[in-house]
Amino acid sequence: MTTRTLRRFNRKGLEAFEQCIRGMTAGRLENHLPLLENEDLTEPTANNCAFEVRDFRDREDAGKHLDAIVGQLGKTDFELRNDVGLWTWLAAVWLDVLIPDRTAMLRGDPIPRLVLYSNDFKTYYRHWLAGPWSIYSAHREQPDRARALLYTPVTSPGEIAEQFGANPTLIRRTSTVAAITKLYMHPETGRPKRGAAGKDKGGARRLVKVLKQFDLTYDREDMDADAIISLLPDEFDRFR
Amino acid sequence: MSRLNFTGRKKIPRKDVRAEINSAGGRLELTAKLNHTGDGGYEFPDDAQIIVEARIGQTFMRFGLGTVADQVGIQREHLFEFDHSAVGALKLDVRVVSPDGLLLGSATGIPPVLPDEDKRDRIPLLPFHASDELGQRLWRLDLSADPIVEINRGVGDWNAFARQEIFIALIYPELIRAIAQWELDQKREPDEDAPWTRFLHELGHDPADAPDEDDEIERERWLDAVTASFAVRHELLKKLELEEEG
Repeated sequence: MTTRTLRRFNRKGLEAFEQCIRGMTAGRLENHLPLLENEDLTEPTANNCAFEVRDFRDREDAGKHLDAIVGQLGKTDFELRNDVGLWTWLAAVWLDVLIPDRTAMLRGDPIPRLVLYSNDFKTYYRHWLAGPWSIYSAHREQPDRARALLYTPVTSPGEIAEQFGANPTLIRRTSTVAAITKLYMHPETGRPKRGAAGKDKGGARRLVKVLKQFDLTYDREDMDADAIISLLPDEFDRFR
Repeated sequence: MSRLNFTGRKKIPRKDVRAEINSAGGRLELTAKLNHTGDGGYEFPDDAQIIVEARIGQTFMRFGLGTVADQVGIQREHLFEFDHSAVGALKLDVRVVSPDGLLLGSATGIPPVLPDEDKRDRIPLLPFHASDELGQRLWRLDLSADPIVEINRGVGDWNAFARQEIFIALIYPELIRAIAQWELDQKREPDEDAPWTRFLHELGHDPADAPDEDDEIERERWLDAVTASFAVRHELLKKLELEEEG
């Protein structure tokens, strides 16, 4: 466990870190650590916030820990969400924890998981740190409500988080998120019900489509989770 | 591709939503009210709730304006979730909702009236903003909410940069094509007053007539036709020639 003082990448720092990641994915020997406190690439945040770099149990644990860190800055969630230099710097700090085996960098495309360039929902939810924080912060008064979106490891968000994460109008709605968790998660184990993450009838992918259809007919915000679940068609019966 | 409204929901015209942003010391405040809800208006039930949501991207704030029978509106409510710098991107959704959650009427994507100083850089329909987050990219079309074009602040006078004929000739057709695609992807019910629908109509293209998404080739052709109409309307080749001569 390491203790660090919070900084953020400036524009040059964002580019330098992305180049570093590109080098790693190409199999080159790269070292990101010198970037983290480089005065030309980073800037200190107000308050000299100190924090611990540690493993995360799951995305909820990551969201909570990161919320405590960025909460020290005294900014609104809107400002924090848009602070791409901050989130990318945090991903750089956590890189060795998130990807201890550098050969894993050769598979897939880690750049959107580590580098944020804008508050674009199409890529934002993929970021390994900003993604879970964004969901956690929207439900911080009652994080259990968002368990279905946060139960997975940080580096393997899974189908449910991916499907709903790309739909910001859904993931920030309290009763809708409570309905997703109530429908798909076992309350005793905190694990998903069989088939919830699947692509078949009643699965997460279908629920996204059905909820979008509901948007034309219902205002769900003042409904409770049970009321939303009761509106779902028969294909969801196996999860009720 | 025709889209029909089977929900019975009433469309609320933008002109009936009174919404204004005040800005003092970086603090954004919203004043809002829905007109014509009473006798001779929409005939919504008295106990229906009127709700307004202010949103940018994935952030939103929700306010109750009261019931149809007793609308109190909101006066200078602090929009503490939002950053003043993004005020040009702020949009409002207004909904009239029955006590059991049924949507009775709605208006979406309404731009509030802004303080004078915030109108200067506002281009009707397609706002442009400077961005520090584009790296080596010069511009980016953000479609995470209503379309916004971000220009890299590193180009210097970003406003002048985006007004150059060469930028308009080269970039705008792709912007329009991407926005037309986005408009189709919204799968909205037909709304003649929706700004981008109106824009496409003025170019001679009705989104309701666009080929279905399953017919990719015909859909691409439709998008090509929109882009071509835009280029013809604005004589983009001539613009480029004039710039070269100048």
